[in-house]
Amino acid sequence: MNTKLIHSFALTNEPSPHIRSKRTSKGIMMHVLIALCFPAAAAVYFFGYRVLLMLVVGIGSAMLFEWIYQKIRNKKTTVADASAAVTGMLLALSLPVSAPLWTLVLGTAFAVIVVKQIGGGLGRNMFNPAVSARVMLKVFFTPWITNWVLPGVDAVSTATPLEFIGHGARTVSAEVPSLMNLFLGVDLGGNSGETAKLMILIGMLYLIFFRVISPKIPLLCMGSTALVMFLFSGFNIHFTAAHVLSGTLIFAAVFMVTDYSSGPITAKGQTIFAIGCGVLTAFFRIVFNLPGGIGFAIIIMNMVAPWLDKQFTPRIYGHKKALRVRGDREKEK
Amino acid sequence: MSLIKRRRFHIQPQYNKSLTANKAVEEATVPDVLYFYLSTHVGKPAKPVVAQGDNVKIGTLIAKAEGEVSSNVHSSVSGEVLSIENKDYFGKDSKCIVIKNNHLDEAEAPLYDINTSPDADETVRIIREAGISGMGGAMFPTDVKLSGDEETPIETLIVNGAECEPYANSDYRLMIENSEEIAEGIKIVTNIFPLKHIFVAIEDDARACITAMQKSTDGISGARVVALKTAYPQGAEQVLIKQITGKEIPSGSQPPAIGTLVMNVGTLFSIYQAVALGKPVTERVVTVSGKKLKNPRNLRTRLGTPVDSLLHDCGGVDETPRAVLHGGPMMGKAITSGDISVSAGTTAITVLFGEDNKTDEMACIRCSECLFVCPVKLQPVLIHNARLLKNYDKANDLGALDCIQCGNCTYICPSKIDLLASIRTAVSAINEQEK
Repeated sequence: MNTKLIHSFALTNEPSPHIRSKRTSKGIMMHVLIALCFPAAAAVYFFGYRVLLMLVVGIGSAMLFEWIYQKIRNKKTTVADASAAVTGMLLALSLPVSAPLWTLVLGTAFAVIVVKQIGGGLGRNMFNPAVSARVMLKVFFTPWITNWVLPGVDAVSTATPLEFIGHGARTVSAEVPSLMNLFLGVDLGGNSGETAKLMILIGMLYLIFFRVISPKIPLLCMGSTALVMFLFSGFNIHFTAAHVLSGTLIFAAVFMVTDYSSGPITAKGQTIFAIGCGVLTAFFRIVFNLPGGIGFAIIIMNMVAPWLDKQFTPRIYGHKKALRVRGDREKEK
Repeated sequence: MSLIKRRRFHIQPQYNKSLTANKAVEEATVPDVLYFYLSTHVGKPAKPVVAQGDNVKIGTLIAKAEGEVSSNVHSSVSGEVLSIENKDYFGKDSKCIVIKNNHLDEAEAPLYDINTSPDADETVRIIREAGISGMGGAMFPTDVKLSGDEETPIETLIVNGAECEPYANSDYRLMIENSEEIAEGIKIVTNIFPLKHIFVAIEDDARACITAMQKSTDGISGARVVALKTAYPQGAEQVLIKQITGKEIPSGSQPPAIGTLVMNVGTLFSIYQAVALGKPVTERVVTVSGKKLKNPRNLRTRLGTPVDSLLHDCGGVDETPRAVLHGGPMMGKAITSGDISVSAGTTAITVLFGEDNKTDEMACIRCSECLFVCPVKLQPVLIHNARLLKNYDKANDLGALDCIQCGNCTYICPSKIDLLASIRTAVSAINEQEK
């Protein structure tokens, strides 16, 4: 035993723990991109190859804007983390196939530069970038982005089912497509990614399986909209189902309400957040006949999220009550 | 792996236990020179009672407990005291008694006349004499634990056989090979406290241990084996108590405050050896393991054996390791000197290779995972953010002092942020402020 083994190594004096899980934040973003491919594939199938063009422009412009912003501001470029790509893909899928490309580019610029980067950067932005951009476009550019078309080469203009079952209606009128068509997205107008509910739900299962999202968030969001509609319609199951299967609800519940940055981080906060999004969506649909009402619902809940986290600060082990956390010093100044 | 993303209070890392699980305990080479550090336990360092040139035997007291919370240190070989020096022990300065082994293995007489049957107080005194401290790694002096609580009677004993650190198998082997002695140790504790409940906590994948301990504790009234989910940090006392009794240790208190004792199986084995055989703690089982270690083994090792000697016993390594750890990969400390030796709390020596997924840190994406895996329900990322702003009052409000340092948050973070390092910084800043 002459050789000192350890002395011959250059060992690091690193603190514990010495191992890390395999999962990376970039990997999580990649999972979201893959999950979005299910509704994207359906969108291409139903609305044609222009959807592909929109996806390329959406993803490309979002990544480009992030890169340009970070170059100008002399920040480390983080385009490779794929979070901008997720935003671009989400936005491309939340516009109708008829939307001009400039609206999409304007949207990604707003989402990435204003909402995400000026809002604090990855993980610090208060509002969901894609949702905010969608709402911004809705408010200022409605004529260009609400030209709903039916699937097919003719691109016939159509109305979305919500226009028949929203705004105080309590029954499903004859104009509304069958539940099966609503579920599959057959002969259905709308934003390109949101019509094929089956494919969105497959994407949801994918995200749940890879533990990217907690199943309770999309399910509570959809469930609470359903519950409100069920009560409002006097227990009309057909009406309830038509509502859940119409509009952006399922797409947003799976891909937007589950956004990490703009939602709460506490388990209970997330529960209330998801229910809040669902209930507000139902409310907007009943009272205002507002297509894209879930966008406003999410924005409102984004604002409530920090408060929810404070209310649901977990009770730490060994303490009788949840601790009161003193305010942030930087805010008190 | 947890099936869905949810609050789960644990992690399930790669355990890598199969490297040594089925290897029976073998004797480690007893080296020529041994190093006895005097501040391996919790509390005040022990005070040397031998001088350079003194002859010692196996079991000779070489350093005496100083003050109430401290621990005796005994020689594990016969030979001569080479020197008493100050050495670095994981970043703190520690006295170290260096002993040259004469390989004669002469032993001291037993700690007391083992033909007498000691009463409760005498038993605790023998345990203190024997230098026993928590052998699960925490090294809290056992006699202090056994002095109980002034207000609450001790009614529950949790025998900690939940060895949740990856790679480690020392408790696993001990429960299989020495279950009878562990049961005898439990009986000795029942003579000190009138226990109502005795739970032997074992992870559910250690089936051989469950069988062995069920058999050995069969005759002890109130004793039963509890199979816990295999997860980390199942063996942390806060987690054990909560899972088994439903109670929580009040913040800032110790388990006796709620009438509960948690004792590692290795500690109970040592209690048996001290009280039944009159032997002080001079050896323990150490798992020496690592994926590219030539021959990972479970070794009955004399305390004071330098880590280098154990690595030689396991055939050494071909490839330069990234880290050699005193303990397991979750809570173990990185060893940078071959003179670091086995203490009573050395459960394992783990040799890690490669990067183990330590990629570049990126911004927090607020995935909530650190909140979901924290066994004491902290919000690690918020403490981290408060620490970045040097807002230590906020870190304190967020419960930084309640952190049990298990490392789950750092392990799970997909952005590879060292959250525990931040919490440690915050804790020392808070302690500094409160001084």
